[in-house]
Amino acid sequence: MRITLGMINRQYNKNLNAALNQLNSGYLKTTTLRKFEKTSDDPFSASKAYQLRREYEENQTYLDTLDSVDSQFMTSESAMRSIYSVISSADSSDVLQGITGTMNQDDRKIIADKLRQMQKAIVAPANTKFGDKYVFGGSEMDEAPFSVDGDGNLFYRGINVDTGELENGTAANFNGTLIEFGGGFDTTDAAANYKDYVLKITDAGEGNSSWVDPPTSNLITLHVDLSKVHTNQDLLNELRSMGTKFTGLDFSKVRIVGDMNRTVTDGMESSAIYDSVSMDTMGKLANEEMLANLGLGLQLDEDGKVDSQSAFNTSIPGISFLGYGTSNTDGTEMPDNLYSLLGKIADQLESDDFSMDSIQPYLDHFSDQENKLLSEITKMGAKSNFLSTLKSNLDPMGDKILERDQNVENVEPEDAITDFYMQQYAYQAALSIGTKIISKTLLDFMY
Amino acid sequence: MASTFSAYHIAKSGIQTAQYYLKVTGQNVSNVYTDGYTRQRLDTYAVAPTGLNGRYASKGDLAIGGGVDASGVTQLRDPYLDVRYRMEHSKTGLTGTELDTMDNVQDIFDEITKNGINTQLTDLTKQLNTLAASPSDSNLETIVKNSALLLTKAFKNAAEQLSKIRSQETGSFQSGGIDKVNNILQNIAQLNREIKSSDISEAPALELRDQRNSLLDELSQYFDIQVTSSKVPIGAGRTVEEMQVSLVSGDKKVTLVSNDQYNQFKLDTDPQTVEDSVEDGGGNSHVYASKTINASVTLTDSNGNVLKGSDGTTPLVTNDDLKTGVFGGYLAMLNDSGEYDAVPSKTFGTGADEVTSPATASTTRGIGYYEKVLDQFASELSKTMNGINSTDGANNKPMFSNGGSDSSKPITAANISISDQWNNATGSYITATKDDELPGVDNSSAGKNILYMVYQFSQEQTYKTPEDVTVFSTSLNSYVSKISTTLGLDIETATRQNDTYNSNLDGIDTQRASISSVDVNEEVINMTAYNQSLAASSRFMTTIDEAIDTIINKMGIVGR
Repeated sequence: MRITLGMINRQYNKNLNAALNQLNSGYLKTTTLRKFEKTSDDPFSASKAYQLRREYEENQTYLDTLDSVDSQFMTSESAMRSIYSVISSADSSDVLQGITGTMNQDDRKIIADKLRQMQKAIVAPANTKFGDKYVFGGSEMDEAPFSVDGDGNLFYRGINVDTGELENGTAANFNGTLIEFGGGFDTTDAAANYKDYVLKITDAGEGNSSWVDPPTSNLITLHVDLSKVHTNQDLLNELRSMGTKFTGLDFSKVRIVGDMNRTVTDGMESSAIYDSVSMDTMGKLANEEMLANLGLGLQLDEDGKVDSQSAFNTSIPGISFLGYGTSNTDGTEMPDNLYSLLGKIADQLESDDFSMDSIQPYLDHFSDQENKLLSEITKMGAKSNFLSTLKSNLDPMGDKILERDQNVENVEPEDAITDFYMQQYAYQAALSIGTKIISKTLLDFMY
Repeated sequence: MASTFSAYHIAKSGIQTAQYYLKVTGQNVSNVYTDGYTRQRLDTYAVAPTGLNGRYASKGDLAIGGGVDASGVTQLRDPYLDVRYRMEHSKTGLTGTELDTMDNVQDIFDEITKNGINTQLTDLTKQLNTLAASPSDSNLETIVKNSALLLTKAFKNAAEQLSKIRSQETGSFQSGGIDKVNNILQNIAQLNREIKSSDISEAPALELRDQRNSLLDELSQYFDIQVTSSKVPIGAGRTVEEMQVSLVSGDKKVTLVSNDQYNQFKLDTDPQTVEDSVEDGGGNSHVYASKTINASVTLTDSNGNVLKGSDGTTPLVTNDDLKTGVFGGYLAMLNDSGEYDAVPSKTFGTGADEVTSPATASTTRGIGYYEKVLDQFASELSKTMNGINSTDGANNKPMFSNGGSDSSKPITAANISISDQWNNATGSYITATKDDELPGVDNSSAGKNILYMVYQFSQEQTYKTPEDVTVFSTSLNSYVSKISTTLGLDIETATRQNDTYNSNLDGIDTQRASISSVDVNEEVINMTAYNQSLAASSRFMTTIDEAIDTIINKMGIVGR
């Protein structure tokens, strides 16, 4: 083939440019230490890198969550331990063990006072906070779960732990919320007892102000302007402004808590108005779950909801270890709740017809409940152990992912620098060859 | 008997031809680096002796040639290589244009060294995970909302950049494609006229031909062309060449330049909807595929009137004729949407009238693909989140909206916004649980439902086009990295193709250069040789002169 100087020049230019390009990419590699700068440089590695980066982010999220869950658990555990220490000191020879049938009224009074002091000492740790959260509140952690009324009854989130009666009188569930009537709805007045009534929302039509039909056959129909009332929050405001409509039907003290943003539609009905909850409900409350994603691999149960087994349950409802409801021992109905039980024992001690026979079932029951508390604390310990095992797995896993990601994305500095020197060498060689082939023509050798 | 002075003519022809040789060498050397210059050569022939077949020639006469003569200057060029070069050039035109556009699009989706939608989505998942652990914490929900807001901004930014790329590419198609080609066609026609008139006056116009060849080379990167020539008589038995340039598409050939007449291309950027339909046995027409065309090219005459095909209504040249070259690249990038253009075969009509439409294949993944895949992402993400957050199955608590008052409009990447309801919400807006309400308490904060969102983010699902063609299978978490990887692979493939075509083109160009380019060494050797030949002919002249001087002045004077 005929070769001309022009061809050599052009080829040389192209090759020199290629060498310069490589030098540039080599230089980039030494400064960024990256294998590729854009996805298209290496799509397979890039897709792997995207994957690994996400896994690492997830791992870090799990670790963050785990750290806060762990601290929350430590707080909970120590609160439970201090409750237990109160309980076990109540069960000591100074107090309950020291009760004999021969004690006089004053001695009994002393012990009863001690027990009442101990009741108070239980409530404080039961309302323990971690950060802004009340750790024993189940799913509701913004407000102190336990409260005591003037009669010495203990309430868990407004529900009497022994009877299930509501602290604030009547309530109903409506559209994802709890409507509390705040004593505005009378359940005692025989003439106007609205218990078991249902609230029904009907559109009043645009521009019309709200009104209420006279309650009939367990139905209270509220007419509100649905073009203005969109959400539960709007409805609450509307109800409050209604005031008293009929005897014993006062809306002004209504309180709505829960999901305030759901839409209110025509024909929506509340649950039947109630003033107490069943023990079944209390059981559900005691088993309420709050799930944290700690990388156990979220899965769905048959209802299409997140399976509790695939996440970590962080909730410790206070009544789950303090007890709720009543049980019947030897023909005596007595509370399961340790606080109430202490109160009942104190009542017994203070009672005039005190006898060892009448107090004994309470004492037996108390020691059963005490053991239950201890076993709940032990369960907590097992969960804490699980958390530390999980942490010791997640930590190295994160390091491993990071290492793999670096293997995919980064080059070793020594490799990068070696490559760079090689490319520099190639470029310089190309330059020096250039001066040799370009300069000479036949002309240079004539004459 | 030969004439006494005829040898002078031989010497003169030698000197003159050597001078011509030197002049051509000079022309070659001075154009050694001129773009498109073709090496020239002086064509010479030996002059035959006069009266060789003369009826009256005497037997003893010797037939000695009459020296040398130059018949003309020609170019050293292989037309076959030109054809091959131009065929290959349209391929690099196509891949090069597609690569440019895809590189621009890559800037939007590539998150290897910068942050975008993907990063923001990962952040949202992270914040949701944190919120799930304490759903009633309003500070955490504010963080989630802020993260979601940034996500919508990232969407809008990507959509805006995509539309910017679209308008930039449309603009450069007009200025760097259509206008350039029209200019080239006009110049070729002009050169054709000049070359033809030179040919008539028998001047070879080699340099004009070089210019024309360069323009043809340039033109060939925009689409497939064919160059033909035909001889036309100019009277007195003489003919000259006229050249035609045609656009080739399959079996179809459309004349772009015919001698000094030329046509022009026109770009229409108003979106048009093109529908394909079939007719069933009952004569009813059924549309089975419809596509929006953002750029359409037609051919007009030099006065701007659109040229019509043989049926007199449809344009002579449509987008379908421009599948290769730079034009093909721009049209694919501006009009095609990859999988979103595919339509499976459908059946229309009933009974005997039944007709089945043909399946439409997917096309190149142009800008449209990335617009649609991004819009689909925005709408799928909103649909998933809104669905999970809804408590009545009827979208009563949407997290994302289309940002406008008309909620029937679809959510796209350009309009995705935090819903008004969320913006105006009181307390916690994200539905923490869908468990039944428990009487007596507010249990709305059990966080299962938020974990369900997190779960859905990581679920692999198959995304399909409205025509039920699979786009890809991935999770919401990996959606953007999937786009980025798909694009990365497309770019990698196109780069490889482009490199191959370019190196082919280079090989052909080298072969062409091997024949047509000027080599200084060669010319220097020639120069030396021609110089010597000039010296030799001059020397011959002197010798003849001396010989004749001898004959005239010294012969027959002995003893005078």
